Amino acid sequence: MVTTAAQTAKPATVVKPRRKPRIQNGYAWLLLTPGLLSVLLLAVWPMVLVGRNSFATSDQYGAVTGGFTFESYLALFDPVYAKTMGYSLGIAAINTVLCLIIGYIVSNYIVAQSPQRQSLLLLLLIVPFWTDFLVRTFAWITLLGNGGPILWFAHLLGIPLDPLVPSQTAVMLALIYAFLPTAVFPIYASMRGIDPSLKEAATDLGCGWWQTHARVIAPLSTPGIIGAALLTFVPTLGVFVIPVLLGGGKELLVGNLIVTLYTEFRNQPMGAALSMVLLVLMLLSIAIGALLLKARKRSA
Amino acid sequence: MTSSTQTAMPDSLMADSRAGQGETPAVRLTGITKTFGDNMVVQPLDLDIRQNEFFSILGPSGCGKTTLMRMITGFETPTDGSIELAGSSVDGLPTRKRDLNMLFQSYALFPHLTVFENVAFELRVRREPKKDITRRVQDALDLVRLGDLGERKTDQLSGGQRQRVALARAVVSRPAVVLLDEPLGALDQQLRKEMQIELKRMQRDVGITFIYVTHDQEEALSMSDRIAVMWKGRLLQIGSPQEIYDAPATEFVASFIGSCNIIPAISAGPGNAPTVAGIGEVPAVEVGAAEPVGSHVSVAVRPERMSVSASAPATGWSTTGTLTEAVYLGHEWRYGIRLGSDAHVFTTVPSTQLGPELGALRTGDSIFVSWAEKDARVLAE
Ligand SMILES: Nc1ncnc2c1ncn2[C@@H]1O[C@H](COP(=O)(O)OP(=O)(O)OP(=O)(O)O)[C@@H](O)[C@H]1O
Ligand SMILES: [Mg+2]
Repeated sequence: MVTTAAQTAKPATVVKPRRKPRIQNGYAWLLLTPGLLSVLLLAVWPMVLVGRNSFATSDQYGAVTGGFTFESYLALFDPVYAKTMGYSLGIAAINTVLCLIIGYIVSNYIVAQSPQRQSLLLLLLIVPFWTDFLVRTFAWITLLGNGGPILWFAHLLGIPLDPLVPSQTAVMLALIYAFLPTAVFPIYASMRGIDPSLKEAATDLGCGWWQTHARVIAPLSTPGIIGAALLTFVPTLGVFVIPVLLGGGKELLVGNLIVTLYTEFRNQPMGAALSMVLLVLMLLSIAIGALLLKARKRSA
Repeated sequence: MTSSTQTAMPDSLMADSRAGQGETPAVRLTGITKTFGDNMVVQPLDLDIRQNEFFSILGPSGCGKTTLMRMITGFETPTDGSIELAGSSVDGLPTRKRDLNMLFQSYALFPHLTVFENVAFELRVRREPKKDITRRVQDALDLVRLGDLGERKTDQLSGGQRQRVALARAVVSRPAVVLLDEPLGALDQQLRKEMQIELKRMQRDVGITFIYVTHDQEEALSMSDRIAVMWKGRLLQIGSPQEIYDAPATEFVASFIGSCNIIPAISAGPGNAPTVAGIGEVPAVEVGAAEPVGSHVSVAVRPERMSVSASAPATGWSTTGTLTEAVYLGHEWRYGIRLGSDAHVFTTVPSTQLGPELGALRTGDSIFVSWAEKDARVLAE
């Protein structure tokens, strides 16, 4: 073909206009007011009350009488509380690790499907959320308990199986069940952003299944994995329905203890103090997660 | 659908798809076929690619080039046929065990690794000794002239630099074959030209077989030892750039590579000049199997092989046509001419060779057109 003048012009550099800070006039604040008010009234104010109560004294019927003391916090050093605290952290850690492993495998499966199937599978993951958490926990009692399908099936096969409720196994199963979807979503979101040709490149460069994941897919999914860890670990610490219903209330989590302190022991200051400790633990783990993400970004 | 005798190539040209006796081809495809659903994307084809050859697969978008490459790498399983690398069958062998590397169109660099780590990736996966790795990666980076950028992250590189990293990563382990799928597609015109020269130099230096996919004919002509022209899942012709350009086997090859005038004609049987409506017999060479008398054929003539003049040339064959356009393009003039009853052709005349007679012609005037017999080819439709 006859050639025309070579087109060698470089694209002009694009200068982004500096954007003005949006919130400058009174109208924006006006729009934000309803949201701010509800956050202040429903989240911050109760938290302030709990914080205040944790330093208060109480009369013998449990009513808060004011004053200022560290007694409630010091009382938490009792081995009984420390043990529950340790147990909660342990259970939360185990639940997090299991949810991450299963969540990783599930996400990896979902991203390999066609777009339509992906939406369908994600929808199936969300469906349980339309039912109340308490109802779903009760469903586990039916499922694992006496006369439930699992025992029935085991007996059919001649396996002598004791009812699984109440047991630690049931608690663990229900915890994984409750938090798996929350773990899947962030990991899936990260994995979906990975260029599929990277996986092929890894195979081409000699990786088998394990190496492909260890060297490419998992490192590139870390933002999602860290997010999933936070979304699993932190809320698990506060769970209180599952241990009561499925664990027979023998081994309690921090959440249970708080409920017990408030309702049965009628010791509001101690309940508040334990809540504050839990809050600090949660904030701490979020901070660690954020630091990990930041460190990763800096090295990336 | 399953017939393996189905072929677009005349027998004389099929010979090129097989290497000579005694030579082990780097890649040998036998009856390779790929079907998606009921869409046969790659028709049964045979192909030998020689050792240390720069082999291009050239064809329009969607003709099955990428699919063919992906079958060689092992990303796709052929529906039928078998593949040999260096003389041994790789059918059913996973990609990671094939002695070849692919250079992806999107480069597929690992964003969480540095340039050095990207290039070292394969050597590390294959557990080569540490000090070897450092040296070999450095050599590969020097080869692509990125010696001092090893510690950069890949998102701090320009398009051309990423391209080089991908290339270094593909050749660092010295595989027998490197497959490149339109590697220059994402680069701007000028960088493309530079990288073409660079790629060719590198291929010669490292002595690796390159299988190069492109739909840019100029690129294929300038870089390749041999070219296969692919169309609708079939290989129409395999040959050196000169063979492909000067002796196209089909009408598609003739018009896809460079530009070519295709003049409809009627075959007068072997050894006789074909007839063009409104002109009569025209000189042309028969290629391949002769077409039966009376069948529709095309006469293909490259524009630069046609000569035009205002008066009848003193010697040889010529015919008259009507000038439909004359366009000045600086270094040359481009003439559009109506020939006979239904043929339109165009030809080019270098500006320096334009005589006053020719220059005086206006559209609608008669113009004399001629070509030598060896420059025109009779092609089946
Ligand atoms: N996984 C697949 N499933 C179904 N059809 C496919 C698949 N991959 C490719 N095709 C079809 O096969 C044909 C050839 O595709 P291919 O990617 O090999 O073309 P190509 O020659 O590489 O084109 P381009 O120059 O645009 O890259 C196309 O029609 C495409 O739609
Ligand atoms: Mg392609």
